[in-house]
Amino acid sequence: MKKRREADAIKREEQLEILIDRYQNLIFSICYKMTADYFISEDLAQETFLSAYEKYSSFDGKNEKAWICRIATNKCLDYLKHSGRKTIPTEDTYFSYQEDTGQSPEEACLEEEVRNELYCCCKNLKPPYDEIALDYYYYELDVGEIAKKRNRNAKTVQTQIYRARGMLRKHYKKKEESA
Amino acid sequence: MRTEDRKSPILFPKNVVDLRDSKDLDAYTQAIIHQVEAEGLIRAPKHMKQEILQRSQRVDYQLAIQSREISKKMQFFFYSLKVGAAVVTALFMVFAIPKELPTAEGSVPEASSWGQEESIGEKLNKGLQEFNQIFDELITTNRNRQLED
Repeated sequence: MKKRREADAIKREEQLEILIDRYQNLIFSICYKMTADYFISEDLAQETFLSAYEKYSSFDGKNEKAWICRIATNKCLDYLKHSGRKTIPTEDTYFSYQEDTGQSPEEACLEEEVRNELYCCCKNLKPPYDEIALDYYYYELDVGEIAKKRNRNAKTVQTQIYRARGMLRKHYKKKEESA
Repeated sequence: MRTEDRKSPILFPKNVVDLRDSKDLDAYTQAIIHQVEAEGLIRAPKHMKQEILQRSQRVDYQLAIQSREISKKMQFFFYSLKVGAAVVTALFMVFAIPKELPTAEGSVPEASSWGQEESIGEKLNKGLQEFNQIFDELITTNRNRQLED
C-alpha cells in the first residue's frame, strides 16, 4: 500500500513536470495578456499549475490544453476582480480574432518588448537591488550563481531578490495605473 | 508592453470579470488561446518551473491531494456509518422515552417511574457516548493510517 502511494506520488510529480514543460509559455502568455504585469503573471501562472496539480485526479482527460487554460483564465479573472479592475484597457472587440498578418517574427518581437520593459524596470531600482534583479530576472541566473558572482551569502541574495521583487511589482503596478 | 500599442485589436468584453461564472467562459478561453498563439508566446521565467515544483511539495498541497484521493467507497462507507448511527440513535430514543408523560395537573409520578426514567436517561447517555467513542476511534485510526502512508 505504501509503495503504491509512493508510486502515485512520483507519477503525480511527473505529470506536473510534463504539464509545466508543455504549457508554461502558453499559460504565462495568457496571464500576461490579461494582466499586463510580468510578476503578477508569474504568480498567476504558478497558481494555475498548482491548482491543476491538485485537481488532476478529477480531470476527465479530454482536452488538457483547454482545461488548464480555463484554470488560468479563472485565476486571472479572480485577480482582476479583487484588484478592482473590471476591464483590460484595450479596444472593445468581443470574440473575434485576426489571423497572423505574416509580419516579421512576432514572437521574438513580443518577447523583446517584454524583456526590454523588464530590463528598464530592473535598472530603475536602487542599488544593490538593480543588479540583483537584473541577474535573477533578466539574465535568469540561479541564487547560487549570483551569490558566487557577487561574493555574497546565498541567504542574503535570496532576501535581496525577494525585496527586489516587491519593488518591481510596485513599479509595474504604478505603470499600469498611470497608463 | 502596452497592449494598446499592438496592431491587432484585443478581444475582451467590457466587463471581463463578469465572465467568471458565465457560460461564455469557454468560448472566451478559446478565443484568448487563439489570439495568444497567433501573436506569439512569451517565454516564461526560467526559475518558474523550479518554484512550482518546490511549492508543490509543501504540506498543504500534499494534504489537499491526499484528501481528494480517499476512494469513493471509503467516503460512502463513512457516510453510511453516520446515517446508520443516526438511525439507531433515533430508534433507541423512540423506545426509551416513556409512553405516558406526567399530567399537567401536577400529579407527581410515582417514585419508581421517575427512577425508571432516570435509569433510561442514563442508559441513553451511555449509549450515545459509546457510539461517539467508536466513531471517533474509527476516524482517528483511518487518519493515522493515511498519515503514515
